[in-house]
Amino acid sequence: MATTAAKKQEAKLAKNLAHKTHFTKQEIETLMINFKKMTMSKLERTMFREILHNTFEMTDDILMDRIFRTFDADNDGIIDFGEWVTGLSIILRGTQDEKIDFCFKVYDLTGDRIITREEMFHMLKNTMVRQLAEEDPDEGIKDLVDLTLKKMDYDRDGRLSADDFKRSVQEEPLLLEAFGPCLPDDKVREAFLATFTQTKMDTSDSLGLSTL
Amino acid sequence: MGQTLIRAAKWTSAREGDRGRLEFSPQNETILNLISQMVETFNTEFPQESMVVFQSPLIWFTNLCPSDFPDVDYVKTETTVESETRGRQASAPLLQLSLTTANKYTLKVSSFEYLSYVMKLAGHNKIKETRACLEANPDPVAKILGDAFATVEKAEDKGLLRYVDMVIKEEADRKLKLMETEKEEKKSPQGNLVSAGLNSASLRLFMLLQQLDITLMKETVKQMAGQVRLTPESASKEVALLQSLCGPTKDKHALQSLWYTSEYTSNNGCRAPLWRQVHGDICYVVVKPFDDPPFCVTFTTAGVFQNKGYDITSGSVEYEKDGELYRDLTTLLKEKNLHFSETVNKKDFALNYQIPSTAVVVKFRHEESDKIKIAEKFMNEKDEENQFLLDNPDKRKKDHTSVCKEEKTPSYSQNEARVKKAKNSGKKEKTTSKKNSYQKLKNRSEDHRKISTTNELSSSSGKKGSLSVTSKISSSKTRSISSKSPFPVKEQWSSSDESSSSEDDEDAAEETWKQSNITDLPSEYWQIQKLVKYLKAGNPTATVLALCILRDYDLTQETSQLAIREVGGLDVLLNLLETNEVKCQIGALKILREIAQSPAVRKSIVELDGLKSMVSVLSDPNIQLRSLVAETIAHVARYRRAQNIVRRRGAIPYLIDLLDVPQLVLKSPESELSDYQKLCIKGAQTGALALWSLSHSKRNKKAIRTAGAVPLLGRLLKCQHQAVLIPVVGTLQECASRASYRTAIKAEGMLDDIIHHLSSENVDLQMHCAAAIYKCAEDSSVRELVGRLEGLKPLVKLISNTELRDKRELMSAVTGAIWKCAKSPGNINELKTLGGVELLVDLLHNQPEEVLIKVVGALSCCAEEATCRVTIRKAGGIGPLVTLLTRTNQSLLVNVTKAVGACAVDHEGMSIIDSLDGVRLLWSQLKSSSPEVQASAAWGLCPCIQNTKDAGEMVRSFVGGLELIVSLLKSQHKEVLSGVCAAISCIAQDEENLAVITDHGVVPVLAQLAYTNDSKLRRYLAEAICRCCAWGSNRADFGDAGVVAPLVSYLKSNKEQVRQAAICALHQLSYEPSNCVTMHATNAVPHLLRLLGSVNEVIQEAAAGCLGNIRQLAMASETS
Repeated sequence: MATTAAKKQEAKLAKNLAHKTHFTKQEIETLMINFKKMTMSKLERTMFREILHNTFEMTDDILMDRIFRTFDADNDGIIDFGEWVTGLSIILRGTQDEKIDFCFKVYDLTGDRIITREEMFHMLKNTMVRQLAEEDPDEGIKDLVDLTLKKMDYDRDGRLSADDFKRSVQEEPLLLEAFGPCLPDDKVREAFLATFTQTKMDTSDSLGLSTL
Repeated sequence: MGQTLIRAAKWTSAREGDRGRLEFSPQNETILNLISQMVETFNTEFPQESMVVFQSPLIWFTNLCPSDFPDVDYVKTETTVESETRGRQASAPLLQLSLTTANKYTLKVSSFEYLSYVMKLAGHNKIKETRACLEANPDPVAKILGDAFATVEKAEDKGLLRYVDMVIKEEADRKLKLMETEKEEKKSPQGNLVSAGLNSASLRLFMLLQQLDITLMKETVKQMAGQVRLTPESASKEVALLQSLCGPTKDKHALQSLWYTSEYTSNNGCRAPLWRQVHGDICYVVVKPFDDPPFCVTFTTAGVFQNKGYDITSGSVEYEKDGELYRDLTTLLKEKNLHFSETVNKKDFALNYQIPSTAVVVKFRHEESDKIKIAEKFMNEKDEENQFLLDNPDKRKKDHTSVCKEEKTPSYSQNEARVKKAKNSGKKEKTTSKKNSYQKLKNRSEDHRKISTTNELSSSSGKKGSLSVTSKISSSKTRSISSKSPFPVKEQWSSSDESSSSEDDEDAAEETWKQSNITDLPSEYWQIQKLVKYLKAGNPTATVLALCILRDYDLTQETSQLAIREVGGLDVLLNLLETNEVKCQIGALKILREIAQSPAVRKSIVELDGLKSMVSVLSDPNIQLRSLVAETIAHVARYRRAQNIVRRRGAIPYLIDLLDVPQLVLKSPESELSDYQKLCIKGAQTGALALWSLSHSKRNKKAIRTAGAVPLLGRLLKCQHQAVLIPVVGTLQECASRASYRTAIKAEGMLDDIIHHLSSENVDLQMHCAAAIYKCAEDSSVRELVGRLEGLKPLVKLISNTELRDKRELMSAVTGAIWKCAKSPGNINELKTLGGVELLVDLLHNQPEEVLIKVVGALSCCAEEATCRVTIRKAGGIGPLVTLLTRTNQSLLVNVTKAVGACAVDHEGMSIIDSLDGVRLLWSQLKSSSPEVQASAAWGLCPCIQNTKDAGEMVRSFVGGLELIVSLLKSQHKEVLSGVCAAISCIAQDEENLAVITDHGVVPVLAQLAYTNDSKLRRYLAEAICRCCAWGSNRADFGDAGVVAPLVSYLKSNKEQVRQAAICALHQLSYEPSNCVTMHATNAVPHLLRLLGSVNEVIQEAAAGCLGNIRQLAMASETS
């Protein structure tokens, strides 16, 4: 009895999610089965990070943490199935706008809808190899942060608002993951999608779009 | 002294109880020497200071014994010696020697005075004494002056200063007190001071000790600097320097050659195998000097020495030292080789210094064809060295591939179990290995590219014999010296291999530009260089950012491009293409696409073997990448040499693949397309662009066709999008110069689309379509097809458009198309009805020669037809045509002479020509150097002469004209000969002229031509002979010249005109009896009889006449 009630609830959940996300009902049901295999009912931080690392081949610690927080829409420290599906929908099949929004949330370390210079510096800190002749690679990073800000800050207020970011990415699509990789690669994406979708060849979804 | 003892002197480790001893090393010896010297002379130099009593005595085990001490001044016993002078306490003598344990004497000294006595006494053993003393008292300053003065690590010691101040104050107070009490007591101040703890003398002593310390430190530093410690970097720098001094000419170069024995460099930069690195070996170098045999040298951390030799065949080095150890290789060479030291010392050596020429294009002319190959020219190397290197390519390749393997990223397995076991370590490994491989790939220097270029070239050229291509890989690797960058680079690049490459063969103009603008570089220059630096140093995220920021600069400016190239930016960009990071690849391509439009950059890209990276991207599944790289290749391939390389790398099939877009997508308008479809269209456009650039080379044209491009191009012609159409048609028209393409174009039915596009709005598109038609219409079937497809209408419409008159290329293409089409009579009618003729006449004015050629060509074709001639005349075309006879362009003249000749067929036309003195101009064209012009002029003259009143007068009025024409009969060209014969037949109709040309010897010349197989020539020759018979003894002369027999053979010709002309000639000739005899003898009669029955009246008559004459002669001889 409990199980049928639970099943009904699950079906309802699946239907809701199918409306909100880019997945079909069957796909969500498959995802649900996979989710249960991974964990009982919810994803904790460590498990989530493992998944990010193994399945999506992400390696940046700072960003993985931020992705967890972004997935975790209600900020309760765990990701339940709904949040999981919503998040997957964005990173696997999101429209350009959804992805822009997602990335902005990830990069916004403090959660105040602004990416400041310090936040940028923090994310880019480890991106340069230390040259032997230099004592201070931080100078280079600071300079790069300045240049990036100059390029992306349209309203000239010295920090990146959501609008600034959106406009920049629309102008130059390569800047979507400007501060670090937070979306999966094409190949990885395809591989993961294949685990729970039908093998219908949808040419519009094939490689070459995610970097538009 | 204290500092030196702590820092510079070498101590052994302190073991239990023992405090550690001073090592026996040269450094320590120096220190000890200096100390002992100073101490020995201290007494005499600084008497006051030497009186100062130590706070606590220096105690050590000494080698002296009581007997060494003199009797004076010392209280001696058997085992002890004491000095008479005492310290502060009476009980403590300033020097005390006592026996402690078994035969060991301890010495206690409390002043420098006695120390110096001890030194003197010690004599030879003073070093030992010093050593013993210092070992026992490692911080003598503390003992001498008190603990306050103990040596501390830090140089600053503020406490000490305060203490010193205190002492000075105290002393001053004391002196004051003393001065006051001096009147009362007559004590010696000396005594007081001596008994006081510290005074100014002791401070002075302290200062002296400090000075000694400094001296000692200086000495040790000098010693240490004298020692050599080589590093791999310094070794490679030196080798590079010396390599640049190598060369074949003894006068100019110091050495013949110099190279490393191994190409493999381990992580720390050493080339020696690991088991030798343990011994301190860095690398091995083979030197080949002038005058001496080659020898092998080892670089070690301690210096450079010659070893026992290098075995070329086995590639092994005899590691034993064979000679002295030198500081560096230069010193060794100076010692060993006289020529080297002489050359190096010569003053003008600097002038002969040549930068090793990097990749310079060398033209090779091979037996088969004019192929141009890129070869790296290292002129300084000899063949045997090349041979040596060629012998070791396996070794080199092996090393190279092993290096490459290290760089490959490990495969990512999705195995959960593995993850559970090695969670964090796995993560770190992935991050670091991914990072490392990315960094390594990116920062591979140009030399890596050079290796692969030369390897590839050597393998392909193996059949062609040895190109000195693989020469000096090693020297190419260390091209660290780049005196070509006059600009002070802001930051120091750490890698020594990042010199700018291959600027030797750039324009001199650019060089001077560089020199002159050195001072006013815009700030962008430095910013761009900084960004390139970030490109090199950053991980993929930073790289993408830097790439995006770079694109904001105007990269088409020369300064920007120079900025990028000066710091090896091209290399980084090309290396980025080979990484697996899609975003980086896209960003790099977008930049390359911009800068590759500049010719200098194109050249550099090719020389850096950038095409290899680009072609490898062509096989990537991502269509956006492929499209971008195709566009870049399109730009780069404008450089001629790149075209062959691209083909050889197998790029063409991939490019053609890009063209494969389904029909449906092509036909739908842009608004209905999905993003992916738009990408496909873009891909087709860029693919076509690339093919267009490539199609300038003959071989490429063939390759493109054989790879199956033509049907795809045909399909693309139906596309709606103009951006795609232009390169497609461009490619087609470029390739249409080959017959195979023309047939293919016709077969695929592409003409329909091409004609359709003629009416498009885009001028470029129209131009290319017209050009395609122009080229294809060489073929008569195509011409007719064009006519049927109503192709002439849009063409005429285009030339009627006055706005387009300025566009030379368009006009040229359209008029060319019209010209070729006009060769078919059917099209001429069409043209006429469309009013094309008038338009063409209109175009005779104010157009460049390129266009005029085609216009006149078209007119000449049209003028074959009578009504057109009238049109031309009425439109006032003849005048300009005659004026054009004064031009010099050969192709133009050919057409003009033809046109004028064609117009002269009409009487009215002729009179116009005459009035404009056109005949004389035409005649003068006979003097042209081009046979085509001569022939055309001759043909043109015929109607002129025929249709003029007083033709004879006119012709005679040309000075030397007749002689000229007869002389032309000696020409080798059949066409000229035919034309001239035709002209002569016209001329010979006037009797006087005939006389003149006979005088000029036309008869024998004509007779010589008789033995020809060319039907056209036969015909006109026969006609000429026929006409020329009308004068004097020409008939007999012709007969003598043996013209009859060949003429009889003409009768067998299958061309009626030839037969007709021949028989007329024979008829004329038969009036001369001897000719009849010849005719009879050559069996002409049966032919004549046969020809009697011909349908052609002229032939009938002539045959009859001829036979009649023969019979008459026969009858006359019978009767007589």
